[in-house]
Amino acid sequence: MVLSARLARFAAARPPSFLVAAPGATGTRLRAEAELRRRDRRCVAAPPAAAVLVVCGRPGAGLGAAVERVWDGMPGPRARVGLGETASREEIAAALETTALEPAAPPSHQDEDVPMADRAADRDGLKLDVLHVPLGPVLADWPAGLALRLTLQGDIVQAAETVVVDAPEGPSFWDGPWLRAAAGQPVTVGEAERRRAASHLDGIGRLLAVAGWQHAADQARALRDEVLADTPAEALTARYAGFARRVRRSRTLRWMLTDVGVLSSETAGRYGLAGYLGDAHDRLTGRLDEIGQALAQVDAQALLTGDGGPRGPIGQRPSGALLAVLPRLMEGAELAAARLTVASLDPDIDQLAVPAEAAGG
Amino acid sequence: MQVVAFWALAVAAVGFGAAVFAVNSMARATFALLASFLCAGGELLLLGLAYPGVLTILMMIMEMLVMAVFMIMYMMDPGGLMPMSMVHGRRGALAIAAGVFAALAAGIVLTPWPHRQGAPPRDPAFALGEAVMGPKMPVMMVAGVAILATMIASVVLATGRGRYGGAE
Amino acid sequence: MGEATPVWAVVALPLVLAGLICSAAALDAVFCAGGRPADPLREGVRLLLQQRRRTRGADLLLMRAGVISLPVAAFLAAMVIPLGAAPVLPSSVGVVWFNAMEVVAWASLWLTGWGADSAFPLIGGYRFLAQGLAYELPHMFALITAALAAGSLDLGAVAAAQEGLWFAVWMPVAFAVYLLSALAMAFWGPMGHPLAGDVAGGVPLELAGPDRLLFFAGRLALLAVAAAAAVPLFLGGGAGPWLPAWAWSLVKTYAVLVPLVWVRQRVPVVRMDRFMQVAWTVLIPATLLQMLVVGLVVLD
Repeated sequence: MVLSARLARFAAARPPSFLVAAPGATGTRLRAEAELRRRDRRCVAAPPAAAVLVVCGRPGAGLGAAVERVWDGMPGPRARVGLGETASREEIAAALETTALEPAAPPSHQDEDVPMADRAADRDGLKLDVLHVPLGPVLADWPAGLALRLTLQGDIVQAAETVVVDAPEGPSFWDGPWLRAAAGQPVTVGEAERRRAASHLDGIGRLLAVAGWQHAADQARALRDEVLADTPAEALTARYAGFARRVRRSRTLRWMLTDVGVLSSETAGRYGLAGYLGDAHDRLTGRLDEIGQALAQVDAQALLTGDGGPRGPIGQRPSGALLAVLPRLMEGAELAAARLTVASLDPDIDQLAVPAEAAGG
Repeated sequence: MQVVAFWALAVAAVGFGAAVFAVNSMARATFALLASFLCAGGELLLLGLAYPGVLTILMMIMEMLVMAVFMIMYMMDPGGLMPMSMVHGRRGALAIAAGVFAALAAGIVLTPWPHRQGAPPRDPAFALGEAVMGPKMPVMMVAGVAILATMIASVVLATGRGRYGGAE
Repeated sequence: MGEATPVWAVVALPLVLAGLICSAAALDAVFCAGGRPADPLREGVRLLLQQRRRTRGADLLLMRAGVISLPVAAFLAAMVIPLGAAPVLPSSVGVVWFNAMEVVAWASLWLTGWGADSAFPLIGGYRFLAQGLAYELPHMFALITAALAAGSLDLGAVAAAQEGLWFAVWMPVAFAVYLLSALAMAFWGPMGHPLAGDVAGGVPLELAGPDRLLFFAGRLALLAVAAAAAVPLFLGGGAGPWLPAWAWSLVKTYAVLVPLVWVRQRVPVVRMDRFMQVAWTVLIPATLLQMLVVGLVVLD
């Protein structure tokens, strides 16, 4: 018994975690990810592989139900950690340190029935099975609060419908400096550029993780956390240059991202998404350039005046247009290409919130 | 020992074969059939025919999985376990099965089997190849590669757009 | 089939395989950002102590058959690989036997993915079949090329035929294709699309506890066996100065295994909708040409 207790303690020392972020909890998610990384604790891609479920923010009705289903399906010993939207670094660290794993109770309610497959003509005129599969809202490397209802034939998306699961919370964490500047508060250009670089690094981290390059994704996230932690510019630029060179040079990555999620200039013009032109690889290199420029200005003390946030002019809320254009880009894509498309557009659901007032972030 | 293994595999092969019609899911039927074939491959190994035996195992696994794609993905509910009967047209099928069985069994009994002359060859696979193809071996090999190249080329040419890509 | 097998080899094989699996797992953890060599051990103990879970509508019989057949196939494939001088099961058709056992993984992954009755594992299982159709033909041609040069399907004879010059040196295309298909048959690293993050881990998504442990141990066993088979096929087997044959076999196995484990950190996942094209229009013709060249040399 002593031995088995010791083994259980050994096994539970650094349990793998699965992270769910509610809309409006981007800041909490970033702090939680940074704290997990500081402790060398892995984040896994699916709840059954995890021992700890970390819920950032307050899920609304839709996301809450999904989280309960996921929790029900997690095998014990397991633990659940809820982190509030305003949880500080120390609070998060304490919550993660004190998690005790406990055996799971038998599932309280059954899984939702997967709808039976039916048949429909495919794009070559054959009559084949179709399967309705939801992507999100509880999914790793996925925008918080988004769900896509896919109609699949084999691994090909026949149709897609975007759903915003709960009412967007807002204000957007990534647009924070620009929102505050617009409200008349003094914000330096340096602070805004830091936020821009971190936002792009977060998106690139997701894209690389979805592309199956975990090592580079971890690098992007570690850089993101350093940018947000006010690391001096010299240290950042040197490390970033190495990372950017590595990502740019990867031929496999270019091979896999070329011609994925292509936004033609006509479509981009219609939806007002000029910054998202081209395929996933074009957008990746564009973002890498922008991060380089942003990192050169993180010490600028001038006051911020423009409204060009990480995703475009914040007044236009580009995420709304991104969600509108998504279904078009999904059609005919292989499932993996569909996920890469979402990751390369990286919509921010918080941007859709009706701003009660300009807020800090 | 070998006799025990022979009968065990033989009974298992027939048993899995019968299971194909007794189980109520397409996937289980597919893999019952595969198990039956694997037992038959095992019998070949027991007979000392290493190459045909291993080849049977190799080919049957690949074949059944390609079959699984067609049978389950293109015809049946993927992922779900819809109970379904594996038997259709019971009376006609029984008559055909009984007829074929009788014909094959009669063949075994009625064929004048030759008596063994000499010892088995050192390398049965080599001897089999020689017996089947004789001096035409290089020609057959070139023809085999040519057929494969034709198949690949025709598949490549047939999929102009391919499976993926936007609707055009 | 051949000369009698030493008893110690029968006992040693599972131990050697387990050692290869553990060291490959530890290496992978070290190559990861923030990983430590004891992490896989910790995770293994955690999975052993974990409660089992099942999804509704799962076909447990087929799913378990899939999970268990993975390490079993790797072990059966390892039996014909010479561990030093002689394999545990000397076979005149060792190359084909190795090939057949490695194809069992097709069934394992499909069964595991289908049996869970869940969309992402199902898609992962079908992805592996597509991957199989893409890598298997070039892989078979690479195997046949080595067998053709040696004039035998016996892995021991293939190793013995390389006394002057390793096959890796004078048939580099076949060797390169073999290494690529070693990644593909173990669905590892860049060939890990059936288990990719975009389908939340794919095939083993719904597995927990001992099932999950067995599945991932089986995957590493396949990778280790693929690396070990490269030694008699392309790297001259156990031949080498100073050290005994088994030591050289082990050294060469690690020389192949370590880069295979490492490449996971360096390269993103390759999707089959793109790779299929390359496999059929570049790799198959390339391996056929390699076979032609080797055939001409052998005929001379």
